Amino acid sequence: MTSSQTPISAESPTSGFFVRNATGLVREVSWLDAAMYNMIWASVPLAIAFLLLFGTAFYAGGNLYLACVFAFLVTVTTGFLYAMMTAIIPRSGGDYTWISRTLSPPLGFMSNVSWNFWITFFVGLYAAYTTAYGLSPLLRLWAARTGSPGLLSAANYLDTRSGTLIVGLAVVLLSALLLAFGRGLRAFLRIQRWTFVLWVLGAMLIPIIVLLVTSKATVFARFDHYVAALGGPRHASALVLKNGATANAPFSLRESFLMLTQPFYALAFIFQSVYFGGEIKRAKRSGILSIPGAHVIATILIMLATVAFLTGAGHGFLAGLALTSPGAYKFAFTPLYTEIAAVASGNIVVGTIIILGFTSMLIIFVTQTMLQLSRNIFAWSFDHLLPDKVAEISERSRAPIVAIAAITGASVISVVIVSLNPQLTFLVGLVGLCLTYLIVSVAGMVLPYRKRELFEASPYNRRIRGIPVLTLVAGGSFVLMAVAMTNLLLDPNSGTNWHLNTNRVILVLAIFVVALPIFYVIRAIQRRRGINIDLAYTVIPPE
Amino acid sequence: MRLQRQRRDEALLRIFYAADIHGSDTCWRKFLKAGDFYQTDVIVLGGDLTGKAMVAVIRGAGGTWRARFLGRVAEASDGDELKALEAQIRFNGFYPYRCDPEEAARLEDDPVARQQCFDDVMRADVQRWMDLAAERLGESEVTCLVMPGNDDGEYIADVLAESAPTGNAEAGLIEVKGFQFLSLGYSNVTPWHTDRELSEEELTSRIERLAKELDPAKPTVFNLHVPPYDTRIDDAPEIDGTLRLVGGAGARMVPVGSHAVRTAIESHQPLLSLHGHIHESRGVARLGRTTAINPGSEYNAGVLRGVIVTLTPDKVRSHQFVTA
Repeated sequence: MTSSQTPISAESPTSGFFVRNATGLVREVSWLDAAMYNMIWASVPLAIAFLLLFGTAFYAGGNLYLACVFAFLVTVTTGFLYAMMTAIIPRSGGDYTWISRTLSPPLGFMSNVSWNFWITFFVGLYAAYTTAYGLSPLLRLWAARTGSPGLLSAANYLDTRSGTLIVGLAVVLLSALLLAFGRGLRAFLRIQRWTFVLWVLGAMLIPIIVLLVTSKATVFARFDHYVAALGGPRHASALVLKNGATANAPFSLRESFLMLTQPFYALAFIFQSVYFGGEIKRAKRSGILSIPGAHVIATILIMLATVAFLTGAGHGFLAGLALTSPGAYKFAFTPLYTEIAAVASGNIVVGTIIILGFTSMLIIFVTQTMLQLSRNIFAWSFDHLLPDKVAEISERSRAPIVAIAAITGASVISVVIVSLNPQLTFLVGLVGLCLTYLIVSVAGMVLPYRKRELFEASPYNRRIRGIPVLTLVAGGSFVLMAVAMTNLLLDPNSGTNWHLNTNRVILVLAIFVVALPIFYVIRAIQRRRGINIDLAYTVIPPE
Repeated sequence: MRLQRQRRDEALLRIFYAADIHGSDTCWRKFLKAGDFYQTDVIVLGGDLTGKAMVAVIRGAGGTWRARFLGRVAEASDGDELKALEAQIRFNGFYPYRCDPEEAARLEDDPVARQQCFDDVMRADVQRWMDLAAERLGESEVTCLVMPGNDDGEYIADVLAESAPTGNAEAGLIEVKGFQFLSLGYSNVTPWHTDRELSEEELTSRIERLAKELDPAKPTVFNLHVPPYDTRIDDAPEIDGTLRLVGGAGARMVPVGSHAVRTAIESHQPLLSLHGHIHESRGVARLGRTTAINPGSEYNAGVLRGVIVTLTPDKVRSHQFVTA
């Protein structure tokens, strides 16, 4: 229902824009909620973690700052494109809605199947990370502080496959319960806000400050003490520094460019609020603030963290952590920057906040992604690509229980696969997700021509030398995303290198292609039931 | 084979239903074509035809015009540019209103003059829509049912009664291919106190007055603007007395439909009950043997959200949401 919160009534009373009392739609998500969703989902701390470890170790001569700049330039154009698209078509569903309505329904379905497949994969991955990079380091930190062998063995147990599986399943089930019984978005948004505060403090600001104010000698001494307290060697930092020294090399522009894969992991995913674009207030303003705006903030945070850790720990130490088997100092997993910062702080409370900040991001990511999946399969159900039952809202919980159950099932499968196959890396999914960006870019390029009336009446209808700005931005996004995708296929550390990981690349393409026959099979089944699903995508020409 | 023959013999009724187009010229034009486009027998517009906002298109010097909407100032010169600007304003569901700067200032300062201007503009626009309907549906076999909703002034009911293809649909039962339609566009009381709201008791009384005419031997379709209470197709964010969302971070979704409508559906058990009013709660609910549907609304993007329903005399064979 319309009230003073809606875009139209926000106009100045002296603007010549008059509003009368009338009921209508209330959009409940603010730009701040959308920006928080984007920042958390983009997993800035994980990008920092991987940039600091892999960027220093595996890209000889690569410059971390330059890699951040490259990643920013490659992704921010797509950020602007998504912000414009969500203002022009302020509807939920993101790529599925845009592509199916602008290019072709089967293509929209293929893109969205690929997207949903890979984000479901990420659900499993993050649920598994909750132990490796969250709960296990936390218990380890407490074990080192208290000397409790029970805490240490609990930490070690969590790092096993069964520990990872149990915690991963618990995270998925907790998320499902929140979505099922959280009364719409209300509970989720509240939890997300508190998580964001913990995330900013624990995973970003405190580690940056700790590493900026602590000398390298103190950091290494505290690390040595920590490792020794857990039963590892007495001079672990010397071992790490020795191995890290091998990563030193003269500056290389090529390696700096290839390294963009690491910050790209976060910066390429600050667009996710578009999947509930129909629920966000003031689409134009919110889009700009919550997508390119969040993009700029995320880049600054990554670069600040890089400054702090290169100052406080040094390139050699960070590279050494990645190049040294964690078993050499009795760890199951390589410690991330958060564990280093927690140790460097020398304070158990501060250390706990740091690791909890990181852990909370991992957990809420699972919930966010399951929410996004529920919106996407809801859209499929409304278009009769899934049974009506999927979109039914439960009378008791007011939530789409069937949809949530289906997503929970898929997420559980993902957790099981990832827990039992630790060699699967997060980067495998990036190529699949980039495919969607490429197709959205094409949709953006042609939208002003194929949906002329919609474009002309939108807040982004300007042209430069006769060419719609949207087309120019989308064209730029296409080229830059193609560059990023090529980079992923060329980077030997991406996990999707064409020569080293051919099967994975084929899997990515297969997931995309297999959706096409599925679409036509569903279409045929529905036609036999008297439902022509093409009608869901066909717009009536008004004239 | 036998099944196919049986299906062919069944008397089918195909309905296209949409609501809450709120002044969107594009949606109205699409609606008028929906019958032919979707091969339906009936097209139903379930209330809330009129828009919520008016944009002053202010005359400037030298044949130029200026308007502010969607957070930007648009300028146009006389002729095609002005028409294009007005078309963009209409596309978003706003009414363009040409005036000079003095009149714009007066409308801002004087709420009575502003309301009168709104009424005049809306009356004229709905009349223009009905003229267009007569022109486009004149020879068509598609039956077109239109009724006012809670956001439409009573004078809109008068315009429809005089000019709509089948008059004001809520004036009495309308029969199409043996199916009887009972229509009512009033809503229960809302926090906005809009033009056509009634207490639950009054709503019951109005519905029952119409229901008295129902022939129990014929299948029935309810066309009631407000959805039945607590059916998930009536969920809206809770707001307080100052029209602000309750709950800060994330509004609480609460049922805001009508108890009277729910009771009427439960007691009369029509085959199908069509609703609008709550734009954000697109969906389907079942109350006994009645299928209740709200297709939602997205008029401000020029999107005509609707639903195609195929009925046999004893059941809803299928329904399909469309975003035309």
